[in-house]
Amino acid sequence: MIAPLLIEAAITGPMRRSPGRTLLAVLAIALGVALGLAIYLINRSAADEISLAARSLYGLADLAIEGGAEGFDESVYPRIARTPGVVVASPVVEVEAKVVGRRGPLMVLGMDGFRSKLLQPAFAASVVGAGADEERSGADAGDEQTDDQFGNRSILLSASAARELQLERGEFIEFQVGVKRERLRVAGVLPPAALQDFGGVVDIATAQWVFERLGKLSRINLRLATGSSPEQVKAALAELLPPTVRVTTPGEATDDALRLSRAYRSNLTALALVALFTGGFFVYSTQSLAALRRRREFAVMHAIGVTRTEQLLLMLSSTVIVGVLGAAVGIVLGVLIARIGLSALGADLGAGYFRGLAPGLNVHVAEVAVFSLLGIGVAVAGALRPALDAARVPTASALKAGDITSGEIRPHGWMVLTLGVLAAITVSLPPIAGLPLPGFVAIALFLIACVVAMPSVVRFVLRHAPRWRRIPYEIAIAQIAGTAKYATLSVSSIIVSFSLMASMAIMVTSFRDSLDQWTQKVLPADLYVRVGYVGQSSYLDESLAKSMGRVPGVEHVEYNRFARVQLSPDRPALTLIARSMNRDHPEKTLWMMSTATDDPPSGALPVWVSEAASDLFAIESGDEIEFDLAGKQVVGSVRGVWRDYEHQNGAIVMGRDDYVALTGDRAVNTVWFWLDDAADIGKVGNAIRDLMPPGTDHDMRTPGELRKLSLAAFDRTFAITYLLELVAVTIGLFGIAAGISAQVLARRSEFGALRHLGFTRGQVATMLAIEGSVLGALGVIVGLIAGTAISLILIYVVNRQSFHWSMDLSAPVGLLAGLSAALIAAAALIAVVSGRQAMGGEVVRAVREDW
Amino acid sequence: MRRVVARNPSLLDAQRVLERIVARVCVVLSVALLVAAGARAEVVYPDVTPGYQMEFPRDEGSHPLFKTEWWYVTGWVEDTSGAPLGFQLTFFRSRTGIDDDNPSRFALRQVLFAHLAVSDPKRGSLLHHEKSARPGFGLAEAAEGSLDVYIDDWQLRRDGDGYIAVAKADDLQLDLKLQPKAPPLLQGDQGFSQKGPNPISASYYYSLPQLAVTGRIGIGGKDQSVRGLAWFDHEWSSGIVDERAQGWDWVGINLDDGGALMLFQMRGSGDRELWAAAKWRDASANNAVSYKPEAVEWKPLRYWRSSRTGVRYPIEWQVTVGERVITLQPLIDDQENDASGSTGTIYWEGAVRAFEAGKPIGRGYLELTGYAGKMRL
Repeated sequence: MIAPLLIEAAITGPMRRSPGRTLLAVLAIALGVALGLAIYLINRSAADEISLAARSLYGLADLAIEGGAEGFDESVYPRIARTPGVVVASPVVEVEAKVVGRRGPLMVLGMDGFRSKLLQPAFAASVVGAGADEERSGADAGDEQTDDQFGNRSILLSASAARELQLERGEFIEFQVGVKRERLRVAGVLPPAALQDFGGVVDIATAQWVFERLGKLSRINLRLATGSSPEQVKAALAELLPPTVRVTTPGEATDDALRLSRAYRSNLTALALVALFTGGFFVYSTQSLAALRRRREFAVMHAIGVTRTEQLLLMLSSTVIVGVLGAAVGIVLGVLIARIGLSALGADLGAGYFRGLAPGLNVHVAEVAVFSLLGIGVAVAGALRPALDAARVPTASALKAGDITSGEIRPHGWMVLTLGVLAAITVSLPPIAGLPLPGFVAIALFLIACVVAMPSVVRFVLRHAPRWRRIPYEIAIAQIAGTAKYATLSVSSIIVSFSLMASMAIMVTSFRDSLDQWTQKVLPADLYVRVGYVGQSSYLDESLAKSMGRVPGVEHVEYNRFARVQLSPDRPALTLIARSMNRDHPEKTLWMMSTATDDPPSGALPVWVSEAASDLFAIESGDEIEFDLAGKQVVGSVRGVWRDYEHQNGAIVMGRDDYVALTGDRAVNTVWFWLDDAADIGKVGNAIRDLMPPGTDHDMRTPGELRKLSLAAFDRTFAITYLLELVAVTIGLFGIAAGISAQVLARRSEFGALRHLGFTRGQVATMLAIEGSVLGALGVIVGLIAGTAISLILIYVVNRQSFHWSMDLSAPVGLLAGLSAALIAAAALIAVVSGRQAMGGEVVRAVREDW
Repeated sequence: MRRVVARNPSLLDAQRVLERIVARVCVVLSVALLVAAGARAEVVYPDVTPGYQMEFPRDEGSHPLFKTEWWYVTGWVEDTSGAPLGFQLTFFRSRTGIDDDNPSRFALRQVLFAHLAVSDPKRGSLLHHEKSARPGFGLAEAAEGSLDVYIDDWQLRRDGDGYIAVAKADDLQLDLKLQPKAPPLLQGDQGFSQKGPNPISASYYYSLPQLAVTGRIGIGGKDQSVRGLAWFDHEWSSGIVDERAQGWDWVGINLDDGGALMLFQMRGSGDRELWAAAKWRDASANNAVSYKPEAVEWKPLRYWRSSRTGVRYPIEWQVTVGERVITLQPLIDDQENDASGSTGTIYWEGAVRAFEAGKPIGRGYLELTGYAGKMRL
């Protein structure tokens, strides 16, 4: 009977009376849920798509023999096919083929259709479709002439490749192999499900011949007999295979593809959840403020017999409503953002990890449920503490007039210390499953510690506040000091969001500056010509490269050759870079992080490994590594570790002379040109171009262009993170707005009194502006300090563990100063605006309200 | 004339039938898309001409220059309980006409196919499987010089003075030894077998009738030892079907008296006889009589319609060879071989009994092609 009244009094009433705050709370939760869900959905779609792509590559294969980009000798194929337990062995030649007139490679799969149809029935069915077309059109034309244009070398393109290349059946696609051109006729387009990648399928014999892979296979997909043990077959196969060829289960290959981007994706998800975290703090601060403000209401409720448990439930149920509303709006918004993000930015949100991937979006009920619960959970968690406080309100004293504020601040020294120690411990833990989860936990712990320590900080700061004998200022300081609890609560959400934003900004700037320096360091030449890349079909002959070096104006040239090596059978291959190296001064061409001091052991080749390789394989300067190159076992002595932002799986540099001596491969991928001082770069470039066979696809760039390209790629990758930060800070601003305005509205009587005492409106406004900016400044300063600390965790722990990239600390002072000023100004503005509302007309009468 | 080829009989031109088959099969099975045409201009397939002297075992082996070739074993066996069982194992080789200059070991110059089928009256329908592969790497080959053709663990090869036929699928295993009792029966004129009014459509063709079969056949996990009689055909050609032919009917019968009878007809439009021939060898294997088209007559007696494909086959016949009138009755009605899902072939190939004046005179295999109607064209 009393219940509806109670609900009105405790839940709906307050919400209705402050619709703005309720709306902001809903919005804060909604934004957190939306961003978290959107980022998660986009990531999952990408992962699904990659798994699907891998499935179309491997079909029903139980095992796969993988030989990396170099491939392995085809003579093992019959032995593998005859291994007991193997039912189907389907050989594959995989080539990253250079399409003339296009930058990225086309993945060409050479398959023996007679074998692959047993593993990829869907694929075979689609080929049947293409074949049927073939026959029909052949019959329509019905004469030999039409038939004559059919080369017997043809390719089936994946749907995405046909779309991007704008090719149709019957047209020709031209490849660059070395500097030669090879034409294949497009015999058909595969349905999207058959082959996900930007790729095509050709007959295996055609692939070996056209792409110069005679005698080589890249992979053999295996189907095992029912009931045979994959482990046994694996062991039997391993005996047949050279050490660099590995037996994998198709899942592992998918992992390789996903592992590359996983660190990036998990960091993004963590960042997205920061918004939700900030939303939780917003709820916390608004509810705490409400709880303080409504002490007398609670006391009245106790007085009329509402138990404390009932009151707790009433209080929490109002946040549950906020949480449910926020989650509902957030889910809709999140799906919408994910859909737009996928179509506008692609599955990797612009980071360039998954080229040519165009996944569709489907949302599972479980995901919706989890993110809804997360939103509601965060809202309730944020409201738990204020609700408990409210339930504990002492009835008698709270009923007395004038007990609105309880400004006492309890120092939480022990709690802060415990949280700090925990953060310190977690930050030093190794990554979990390759992900920097402990780093993220440490950041969260540290942030909570900051918020908990905030009251003491506020007290300390106010105690040492500069004296300034101006009435508005003194009153403002006295007000904040007297209501330190309010003050802390108002700024906690801005501390959380601003510190995260500051840390991200510092991290991104450090990264960008390091990258910028790195590109300058690793690009010392005046001009670069690149033909082909790791695993691609195109390259330059040495003689051609040499003749380029004789172009007038060229002072000297150096050559690069890319290859792949396998250091461990369970990890993706590393990039091997063979280039001219100054053994005594590697720092002339590489950015060395450490160098070996001892002399290399005799018989070992000097090599230099990238940081990623050093991290992933636990190699340090002075270590020895062993790997296979062109069928030979090579012992390398690590002469140093260099900084590298290019090869996420790690890279090894060796002298080109050593490489040529080992492999006999004199081909060249990149030529570096140092020009005479007087040389005209344009003329030299044209002379070099003239040397290449007409139409050779190449990249000719100056260091300036390359630098611009890499920075543009960097900015594209991090654009989404800027957006996420912005949202977090917006929610933080909500917090300060809600906090200040609530407090200002509650102080109408105070303003009335001040006006009675002769304060002008302007003076009240000044006082409020000072209050707001002091609060804002407190939040910003603490946020900056905390942000710098967090950025150190991001740079030296999270990033290092995610990407194995080191970077030098560098803060965007201008950006941070500007943002700080903007935030402080915003806080002041909010205070003044709410004050103006509060003073609207009836201020003097408001003095009476308390009586 | 055998078979695997039968698939799309409504395609007229002889060249084209085979090309389409090759093209189709390859397109369908492999990604290779060998519309052989581009290379066709240069590719020369040897002609089939009268006067070729067959030699054995040399001519048992593959003739890789010819466009098409098959080795075909059919037979009637009985299990230990005396229940009859028909079986068929065919290997088919096709030269693609492409990749002749491709140095890759995977070069698709030849394609091999195999069909395996067993007719078990207890099941009432055919149990069949197929395989295909590009030759190479010792995993699939059609050897020259003597009979040795295989795809993985399916094989047909000479073993001493006999032959071995092995094929294994999930629910069907066949492991047989075939022992000839007489020299090869050269079909047509000393192995030159004319297939139409124009001598250009012809093949080299010989048979080994009355092969004694011993071995094992496993059906659905039940392995049993069997014995019986088989018929082996080997035929190779570069252009075999007359352009007017819609399809053909063929039968080879091991006669109970030890003799052998082979007869076929090529059907033109309206299923009228376009060409026909027969060969009758007596029990001594010394005398074989060839019959001209006008001495051979095929008359359908009973039709059966497949519920799977809707195709209607004349599965019971009255055939006239010279003065002799023989009726052919199938072991079971449903011996349709539908491989349209993979190779595009729909044909009927089954065990039949031969009767003369109501009395059984022998058992053999009947092949009916070109009844699947006009396919898209």
